[in-house]
Amino acid sequence: MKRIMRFLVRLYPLRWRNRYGAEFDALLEDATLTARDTFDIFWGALKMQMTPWGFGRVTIGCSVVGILAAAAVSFMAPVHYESRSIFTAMPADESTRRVLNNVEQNVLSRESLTLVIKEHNLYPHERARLPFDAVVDRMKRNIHLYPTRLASAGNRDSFTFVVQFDYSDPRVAQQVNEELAGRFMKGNFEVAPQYDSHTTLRLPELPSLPLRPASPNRTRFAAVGLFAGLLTGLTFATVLGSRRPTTVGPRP
Amino acid sequence: MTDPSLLVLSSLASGDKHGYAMMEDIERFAGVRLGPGTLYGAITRLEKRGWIRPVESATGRRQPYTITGVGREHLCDQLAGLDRVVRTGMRRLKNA
Repeated sequence: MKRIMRFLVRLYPLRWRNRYGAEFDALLEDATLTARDTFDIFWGALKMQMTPWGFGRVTIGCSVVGILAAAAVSFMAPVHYESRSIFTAMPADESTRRVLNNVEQNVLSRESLTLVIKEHNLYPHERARLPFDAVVDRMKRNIHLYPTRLASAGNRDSFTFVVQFDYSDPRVAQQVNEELAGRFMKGNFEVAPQYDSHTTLRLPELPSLPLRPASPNRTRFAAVGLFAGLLTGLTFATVLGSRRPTTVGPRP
Repeated sequence: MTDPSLLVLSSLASGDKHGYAMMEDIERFAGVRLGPGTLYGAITRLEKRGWIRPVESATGRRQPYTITGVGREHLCDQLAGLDRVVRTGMRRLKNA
């Protein structure tokens, strides 16, 4: 244990070690030390490093470390791009709703997505280490369908919705979204007659080629890092300050 | 009372001591065991404020310290303050 403690003494500032190092070492030799003393020495070194900094510098230092750590994490986080396409389906009635639900089920079925994954050679790393079903589930999580309003459409007699696909490569994201869009169109042709529906599916906005990654949002990462660092710094500086000696009565 | 600076000053009030002797003495009279980091943190601060100073020794690396006049004054003020607090607290407890 004394070995660890002697190592921890190296964490003290060089100036301090030059002044007190020998006598501190003598104390470690003489005293019967416990595991708690290891933390005591570590904490002492930390305080000694921070003491000349003061409250403001500790807080600013921790904030800077927070931002840098967040930046490092954001650069390590996987990048993904979102390709979007917008569909309109007319008329906006119950039969169209049923047709769209059926088409969606077909397009997002395990069989359909398996074909898309194989055709576009998606998720090569995941396919190498995961069962294929898990890869399909992963793809399902990367496909988003949600209703939207299309300002240019100006037609209340239609459903408008977005099909979005997220992937690490912007061009592949667009190609797969084109594939999904094609499957929606084709599915509509096949399914609509089954429901005796005259659903018309249009694609006013073709699958986009994303130019910037949707995540990680580095600004948000930096903001979170700054906030976390600031909070840690304030806590740390307060703890350091509160553990300094207290005085009762007048100071000299 | 667990303020390390006050404990170190109180220990040195009875004579010069090196780190280990202070540690033992404080444990004996206050029942508080100061870790090496805490003890030397206090020694560093007290020396910086001029309340203690190292003295010549023939004990090699074991550096003894002595309390200075200013340190003694400070200790007196602190103890007087604490004494007031203790006496007030005791009196109030009795009257309660």
